[in-house]
Amino acid sequence: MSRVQENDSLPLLEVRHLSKFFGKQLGCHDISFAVSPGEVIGVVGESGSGKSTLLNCIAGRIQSSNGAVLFNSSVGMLDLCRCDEALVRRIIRTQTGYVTQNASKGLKMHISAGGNIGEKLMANGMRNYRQIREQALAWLAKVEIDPGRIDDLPSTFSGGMQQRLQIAANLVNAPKIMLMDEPTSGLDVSVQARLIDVLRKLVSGLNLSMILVTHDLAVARLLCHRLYVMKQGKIVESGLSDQILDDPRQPYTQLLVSSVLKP
Amino acid sequence: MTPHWILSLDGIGKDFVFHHQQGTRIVVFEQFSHQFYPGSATILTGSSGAGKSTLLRMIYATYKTGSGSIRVRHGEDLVDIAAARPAMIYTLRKHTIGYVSQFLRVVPRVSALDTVIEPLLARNMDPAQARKKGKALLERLNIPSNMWHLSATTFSGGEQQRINLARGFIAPFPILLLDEPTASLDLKNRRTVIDLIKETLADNTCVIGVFHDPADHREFADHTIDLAPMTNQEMMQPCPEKD
Amino acid sequence: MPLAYNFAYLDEQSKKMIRRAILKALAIPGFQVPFGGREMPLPYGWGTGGIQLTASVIGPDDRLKVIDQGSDDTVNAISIKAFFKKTAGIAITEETRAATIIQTRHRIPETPLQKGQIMVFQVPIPEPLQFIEPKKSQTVKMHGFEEYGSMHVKLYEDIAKFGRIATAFDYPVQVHQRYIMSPSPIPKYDNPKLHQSPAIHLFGAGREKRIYAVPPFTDVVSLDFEDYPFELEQWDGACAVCGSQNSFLDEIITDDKGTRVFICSDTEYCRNNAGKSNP
Repeated sequence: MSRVQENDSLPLLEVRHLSKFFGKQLGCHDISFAVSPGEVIGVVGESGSGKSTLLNCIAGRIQSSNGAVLFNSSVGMLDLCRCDEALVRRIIRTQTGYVTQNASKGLKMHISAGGNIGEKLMANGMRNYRQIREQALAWLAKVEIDPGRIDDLPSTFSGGMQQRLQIAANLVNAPKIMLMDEPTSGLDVSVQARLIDVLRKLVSGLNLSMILVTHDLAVARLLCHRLYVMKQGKIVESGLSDQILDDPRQPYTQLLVSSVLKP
Repeated sequence: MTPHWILSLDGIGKDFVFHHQQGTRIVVFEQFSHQFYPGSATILTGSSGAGKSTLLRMIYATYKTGSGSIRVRHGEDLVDIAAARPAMIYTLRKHTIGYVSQFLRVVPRVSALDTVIEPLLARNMDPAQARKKGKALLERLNIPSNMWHLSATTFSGGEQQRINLARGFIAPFPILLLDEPTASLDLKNRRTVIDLIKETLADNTCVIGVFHDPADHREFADHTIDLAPMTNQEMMQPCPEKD
Repeated sequence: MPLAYNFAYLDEQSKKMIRRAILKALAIPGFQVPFGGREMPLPYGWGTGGIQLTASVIGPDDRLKVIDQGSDDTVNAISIKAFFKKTAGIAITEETRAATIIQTRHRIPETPLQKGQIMVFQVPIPEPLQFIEPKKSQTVKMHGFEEYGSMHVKLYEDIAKFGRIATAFDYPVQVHQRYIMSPSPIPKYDNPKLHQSPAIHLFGAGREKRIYAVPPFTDVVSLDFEDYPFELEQWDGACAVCGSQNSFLDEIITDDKGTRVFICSDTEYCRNNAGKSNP
């Protein structure tokens, strides 16, 4: 997790003053941060702090109320909140990945593992069955799923396998950034460890940027370069992961860090 | 005359405020200054809570610096760690400042060898070459070869610490921070570590460390800084360090 | 004969509304146009979409042919013919060449269609993307933004499971290089008949209230993979009745021992062909 691009050139993604209101209810408010190529950003905080809302706004799954999400796409810097919807959908489809907490929402459960991985390839115009098949097999191996299961439905997979399949289905397109919403919660600890290990290898091998929403500080420390701490829709503290976890300054961060059980 | 220091602390201050413990504020440093030079070993001494580990962590940017500057020579440039952007910190940690903590932070499912060679791979060294170097160092630190491919999760405290040391010494850094690296080692391994430290000193590395055993000090220390008298004793409260 | 209903059952205002939808569908080939589907005196799934289309385009001089599974005399076909005979009093024919309007459920006649003819298809599931994306709000956008890549997932699943594209009917097509369209449950054998056809093809889905169309001389291309191209069904034998080798054949079990024969699905074509060879 130490291969962040060193030059101070343009960030890959920059969130500027992003806010989302659900009626009078605050989702997230005035969020600003930037992600460099290869950087893994963690967003931590308790349930209801607006972490997932923020991620969904960035992913274009929720329309933000205010602010901008600038993305350094293959066609230049774009404000994903403003520009043409067809273009935004294409950019999001081809250059970003989104992994949900519940794999059954991110996967198509009535389509085989291979079909799930191949879908993005086909969506981007690949029309050669053999090539799609080869890529699907290679990605199954990378996420440590027996390639012999390529034609099985995800519903026959364990929770951890489904989650790894979801990650493969998102990475097959070589996205520039992965958005992950609590990918490890709901899994057994040993299964979590495997998932995290797979993620660690993939992230460092692919120079992938990532925004990881999690409430698990151990996962955050292991995977993230930097952390943003959210409370009631706002960022209360940010810094290098070890700064936030070893030298928390804000009252809420101190509470969060001190509440974790250490085995 | 050009300054030859590689690391310069200028008027740094550091405090800890414990918001959930009656807002207790502990000042560890106030207007502290010091310069460190290449090829020299500086040992930090002082009673528990004097801020020895805190200082190392501030230099490594694990702790935020409250005031003052921590300037480091990074290639041709001077970088103020206290104000550097995250990307610069990642770079410094990759190339300029090494840090051996008291305890290894074990990552499940990652082999001991892979843990050790990670700093080399981060510098894009050929993996085969990195593994060769890693094995040699593990051998030197008396880790049996049948353990190299196991995760360090199940290793004993002393074994984990030797993995940690191997990881710290595998890649040369201009500045090396050592936080009680010999604490849980037997005599033989302690000897090896002291040899390693002497070798890095000979390579012109600036070593800053905390060592419990005064015998270690005599082995290689060029300077010692006794921290307690330099800080404001009246404001000191019990240990802010998370040892 | 005094009619108890308006000509062709539907009131004129409804017909106008449907004709507007048809014109729009013809102007945007393959695009699903929503329309205010009317209640018809038969249940959904029995051809309510097709009947509304036919009722809207039919005139007193038209000659109507209705087929079901390629046959002119199955229950559905006969009922629909009786319906229009009663409500419109128009001429009914079984001759493909003589018909001006042909309403169908599963087949396009083997006899080549001509300029001026209208094919009316009864469509059960108009949305080809439904398999891959169940949300209608999303499929509308996928059509709008031409996000069709994942249509191939169904074909991929076929090859993975059966070693070939096993989809045999309702095989998705791309119309006029733009919209992906479901050609209703016709066998893929009939897909090439849509391509550059001189006739007008209208598709009506009564339950889903959608109309779409392929105007004359329009490109209609079946989806496939580079290494698994679109292929037509082939039969080893010929029709047991007329001996045709260029026709879509139905398999018929003739006894309890599993004896089977293959005969033309298109009864009118089979009859004509048999007449030709055995005068």
